[in-house]
Amino acid sequence: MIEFKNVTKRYPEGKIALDNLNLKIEDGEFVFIMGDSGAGKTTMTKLLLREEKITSGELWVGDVNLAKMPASRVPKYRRRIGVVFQDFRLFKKKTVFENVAFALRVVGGVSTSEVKNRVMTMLKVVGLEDKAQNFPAQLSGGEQQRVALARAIINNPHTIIADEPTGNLDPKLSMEIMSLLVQMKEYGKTVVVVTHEEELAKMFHQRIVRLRDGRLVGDEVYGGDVQ
Amino acid sequence: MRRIADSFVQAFKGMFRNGIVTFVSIFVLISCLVFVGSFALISVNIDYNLSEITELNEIEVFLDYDLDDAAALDIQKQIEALDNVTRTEFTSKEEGLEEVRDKFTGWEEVLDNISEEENPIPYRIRVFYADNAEVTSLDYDLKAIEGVRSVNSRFDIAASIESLQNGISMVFVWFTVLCTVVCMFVIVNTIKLSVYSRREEITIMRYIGASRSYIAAPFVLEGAFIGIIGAVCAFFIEKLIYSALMGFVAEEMGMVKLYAFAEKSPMLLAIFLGIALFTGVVGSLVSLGKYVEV
Repeated sequence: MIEFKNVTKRYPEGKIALDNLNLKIEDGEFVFIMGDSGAGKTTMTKLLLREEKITSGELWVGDVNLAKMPASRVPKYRRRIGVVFQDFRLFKKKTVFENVAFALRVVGGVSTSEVKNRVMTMLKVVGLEDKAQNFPAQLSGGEQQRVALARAIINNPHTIIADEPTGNLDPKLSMEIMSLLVQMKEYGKTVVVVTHEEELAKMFHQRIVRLRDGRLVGDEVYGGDVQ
Repeated sequence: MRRIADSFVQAFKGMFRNGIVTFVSIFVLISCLVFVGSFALISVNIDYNLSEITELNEIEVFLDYDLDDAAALDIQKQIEALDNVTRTEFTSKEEGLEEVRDKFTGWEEVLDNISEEENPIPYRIRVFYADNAEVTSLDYDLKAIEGVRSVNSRFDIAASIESLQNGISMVFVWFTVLCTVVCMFVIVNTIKLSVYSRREEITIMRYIGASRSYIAAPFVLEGAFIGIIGAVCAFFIEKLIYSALMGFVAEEMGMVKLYAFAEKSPMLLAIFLGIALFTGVVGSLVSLGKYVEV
């Protein structure tokens, strides 16, 4: 479960990015976070990744209060969160296989044969098992994002955070990636997708949270309010 | 094990990624280390030669005129029992007069007519001591002995030599600090370039959950490699320079003594590796700065 309790984020220059935000996301839920530029979507992502610290309030991810988590525990926390970015952020000089395997190696304690098995399994989930030895530059945008997704889920995270995952893709590829993310919900993952693509979000009939000027202004499942 | 191997591979790649800058860093490091090493060797050799001079230091003690041989020899024994005294040389009144006769040729007529009773030369004991720093105390002890008429200590020479040795040590320390700072500055900038060229990878690593040490290890190793290469090259260059200097000194400056390179090479290698590793590792950590903050 993710819970924002009266969360306010004020940047050093004085700008208030999130203003007394209260939001609860249950385990296994799929949520679109929507809003205009400057609404606070990216700040939410940064807070969830503990890239930024909240100014006041409480932010719980599972049984961890991110407001009080010491910096030394952040790497371990991030290994339980899968993250996907708009610009894919793949290692350009590593193959698809190496990119996905890298996330396993960072964690350590995994044998070479297990790395191979798990990477190939993940590549199969995202439909790229035949591209394992290709480099990112040899792949389409959609394929690169699928590699990023495979890397995000290889450590079996409880939560996946996707920041504008379809921002660099055409509508067909966007549908593919969004379908994969919704599929993650079927695997029991909590999925938070930050997007500005309203029409695309509506197609999936999932919960949509709307932000404006750092405040929650809407919370609905397309076709009916959230309980 | 795999992680350690990965860090080593990344460190090597890092060195070649910014090849020219790495080369310049190693070159500057070698230059600084050769300067420091040369100064260290000059210092130890000056110290060595000054120590030879101080070993010749002695105090002349003149005894009262009215003493007889037995009393004078008893005072010699008292002196030999004092701290810091390594040995003594006794000169009787007759021997003293003989020395004067040898020195002042042409005055034989006068000097030869001096009888034993009229001999104005006092007993003299030359006192050789070990530690220049304790010479004041020795001078005090000698003057306190009954029967001692005067003590001729060479404080000025001892003090000059000691202050010269201290001065050399001080200059060496400052020179070493200065060179270390220069090396650090160069290595910091080299690693900064390396970090900058891998900034995207570092960002990805942080999001994936790589620990601070995992991210920092290749850069710290890269700094250490630059340091080790610089130190080893500087050591061999220093050896060549020192061998040439030894040849020159042996031919042109026979009085000057130099340590054999092998005698001081462990010290030199330790200084080189110490400075190089310190600047390499600390410089890398400084360069990483905010990049490894979570």
